[in-house]
Amino acid sequence: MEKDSLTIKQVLISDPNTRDPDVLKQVAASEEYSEFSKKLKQFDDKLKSAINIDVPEGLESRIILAQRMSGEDAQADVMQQNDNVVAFKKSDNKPQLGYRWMSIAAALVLAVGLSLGMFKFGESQGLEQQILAHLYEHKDALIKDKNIELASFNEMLAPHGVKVSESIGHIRYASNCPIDDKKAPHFVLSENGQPVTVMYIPWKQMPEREKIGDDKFKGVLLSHQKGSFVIFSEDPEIINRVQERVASSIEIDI
Amino acid sequence: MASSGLYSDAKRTSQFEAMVNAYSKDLYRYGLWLTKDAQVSEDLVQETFLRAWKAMDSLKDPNAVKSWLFTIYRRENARRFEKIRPDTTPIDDVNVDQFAQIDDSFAKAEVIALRKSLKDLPEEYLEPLLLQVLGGYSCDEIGEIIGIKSGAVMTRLFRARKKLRAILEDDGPEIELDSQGKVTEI
Repeated sequence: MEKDSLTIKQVLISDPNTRDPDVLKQVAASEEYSEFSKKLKQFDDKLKSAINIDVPEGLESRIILAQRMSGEDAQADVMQQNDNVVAFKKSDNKPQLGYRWMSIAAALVLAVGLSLGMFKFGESQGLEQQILAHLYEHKDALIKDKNIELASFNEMLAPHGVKVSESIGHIRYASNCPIDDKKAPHFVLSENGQPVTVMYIPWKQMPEREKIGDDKFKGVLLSHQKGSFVIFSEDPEIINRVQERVASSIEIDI
Repeated sequence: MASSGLYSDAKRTSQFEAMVNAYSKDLYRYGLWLTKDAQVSEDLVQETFLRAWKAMDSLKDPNAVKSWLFTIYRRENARRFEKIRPDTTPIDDVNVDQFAQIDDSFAKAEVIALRKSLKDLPEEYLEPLLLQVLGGYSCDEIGEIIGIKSGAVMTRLFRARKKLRAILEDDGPEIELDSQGKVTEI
């Protein structure tokens, strides 16, 4: 059906790449409309350039790594489906914006832990407390073994300016976790079959300390460049060996 | 995980990775312009794909993957507001000057000007425009995604594009919409 001039122009301004067959037919038959359309498409190219802002390097790798680490434990919480539109449980209290909600959860665990006397921090303060609280909150990370590939692990570390070599050994678990409202690499290594938790805090160099932790988890604090590594294990005998592995595997600063 | 939909267990991972490679950038950009926060946008993209991974078996039409992802992303973004009111600080994360890929200084200036204007565009105009440019959707399809009539989508797109074209002083044969959304010549 033939459209009037104003309607044709309205459609072209709103959608320069319209698929409306009637509009396309009239544009093809009119020099005026063709010129009008051409000009709008030129503007559309500029608009696309403006909207297509740079995407952070490694975005796809981080998404795929997160999926692998969520892995087969994931339970689909699909409540209903209508064609391809999937609805999820609204009452679901799991963290959705994981990193931010988990930092709140970690803070709550810390507060509860302190009030119940669960944690004995001694001289540990601030970040150490948050890390220990996070470790309790995510104790399930100690029993997983996702056998993280070195390349994937280094993709995760890349935004933090750190890379490790193969001498880091077997990586059972790795994730970017919320500490102090920032993301910190949290990984679990294996030593003599025992899990050892390592967290890298890229933004804060803390004084090195040989004895941190509480009754359950013992640890050390190592400084590295502008950041710090915190290592915790239930078996204090193996911490030194993991400390050496971590120190020797930091290959380059990117 | 049992497979009952489009994807067999053997293919799920590769299909998922193909999905990530094809659509994560556009989803990130869509979210960055809407949320004005790079970290929030990346978190939402992560959450969207984790949701998609869990629900892949429910996807029956492979041609609908992109709009399915946009729909999940919109829902995840809306859920942010159910529990907390996010900060609405101005976007510093959208660096309007990041433009290494364009050598032409005139083109560069035009795009920077457009980005500044996009930052100030009200969300009711910005979102349909993003879905059109990044998603490649028609007015009907955008209307289905955001839940408004096709005619209302066209009006919003018209006004958004007119405002942005004015930034570049793009003259030529022109029309206008009156307060009722009716088209008139000027």
